[in-house]
Amino acid sequence: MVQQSLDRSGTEMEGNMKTDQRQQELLQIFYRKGTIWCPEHVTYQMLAAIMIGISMLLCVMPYQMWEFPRDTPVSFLCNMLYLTGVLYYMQRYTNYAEGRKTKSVFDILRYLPVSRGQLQIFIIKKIIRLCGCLTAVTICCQTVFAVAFMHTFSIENVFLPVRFNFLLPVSLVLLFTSFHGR
Amino acid sequence: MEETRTVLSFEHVTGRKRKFHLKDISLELRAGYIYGLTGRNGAGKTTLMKYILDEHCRYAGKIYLDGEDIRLDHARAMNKVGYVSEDNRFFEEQTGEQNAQILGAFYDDFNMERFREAMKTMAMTKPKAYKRMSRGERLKFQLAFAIAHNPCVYLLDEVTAGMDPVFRLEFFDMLRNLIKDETCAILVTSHIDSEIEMKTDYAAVMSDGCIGMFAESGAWCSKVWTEAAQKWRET
Repeated sequence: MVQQSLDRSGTEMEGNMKTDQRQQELLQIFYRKGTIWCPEHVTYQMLAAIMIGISMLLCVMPYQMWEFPRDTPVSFLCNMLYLTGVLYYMQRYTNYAEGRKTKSVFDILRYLPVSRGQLQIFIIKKIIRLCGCLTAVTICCQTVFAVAFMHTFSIENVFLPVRFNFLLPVSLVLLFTSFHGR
Repeated sequence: MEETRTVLSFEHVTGRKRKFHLKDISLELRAGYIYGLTGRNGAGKTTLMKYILDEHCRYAGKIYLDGEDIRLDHARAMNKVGYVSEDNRFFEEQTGEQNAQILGAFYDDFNMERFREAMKTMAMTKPKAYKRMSRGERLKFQLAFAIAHNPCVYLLDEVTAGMDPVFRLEFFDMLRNLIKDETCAILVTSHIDSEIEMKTDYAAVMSDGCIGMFAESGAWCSKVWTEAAQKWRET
């Protein structure tokens, strides 16, 4: 059960992670102002869209249509494309470019009154939103195609997208942001 | 020492890194004074500051900033610290004012008017990208940035290295102005002993992660050096 209680400093308890609303709002303003926007971000977003788009074309196919081990390389490629696309999307929040150098947002915020953990929470929330939407689309499509065309349905039509389209990329981003810029 | 508020205190702080760490550091900085810390390169002066600034630094003991343990809410503690160092990061392509507008928003008490006033005092009125500023100009900007959010402790790490003598005098005059109202303390590190002796109120020597006690700078040479020498012999 998610506990939600406000303590003195205005933080909410969400499960085991403590979100500081004020810092989250400041980070939202920091990114929204476009202060760290650079042309490279457009490239990152385009690459993310292309990779995720291609992988989604395969992800929406019901798993019952896949034959393993014959389709293992294609399945692996599909997952790698998806994960790489998510990591490219994340670059918008972790890196910026100055001149010809790519620099870390963690570095610029290092000595400011913003916790590294809060920045991590901010980035993870963005990724959760993206992956959540994509997972929902995948589950819907897989279910519809499985029922409509193959006249079958399995709980794996739900669990597989949750595992590969949500849990895996979110875990990867959590790991990456834990060590990035240390 | 006259009794003013303690703004920063270390209580038996010992680091946990294998290669180099602080060893049983205990000190107190009171508002209204400039404290100097000297020692050889690699003595641990910058490391001591990093123990305050780095959220994930591992150490035993406690560090109190304005009476609060910094580990309880490190982000909130950083509101009270003004850090000036070559190691500090800002947006290179943005001007000082732009950097202040973007990054100052993270502070509770950041005031753009105070920032502009401080920049004006330091004759830094011409807008210039951070990367185009000279070393002295960058340090002036960082000091103005720190002044703007009204910290209770200023940490100045090797700021005077490479400064010309004229600016060095001006710089310490600025620091004297900051502590006039006794709301903050300043900790300056330098490997130039004479500067620490002449420009600060209290001074201490660091060596190999250990620190001697702070003594009045006038009595510094004899007492502190004797204690430091004693400690070096023991370690």
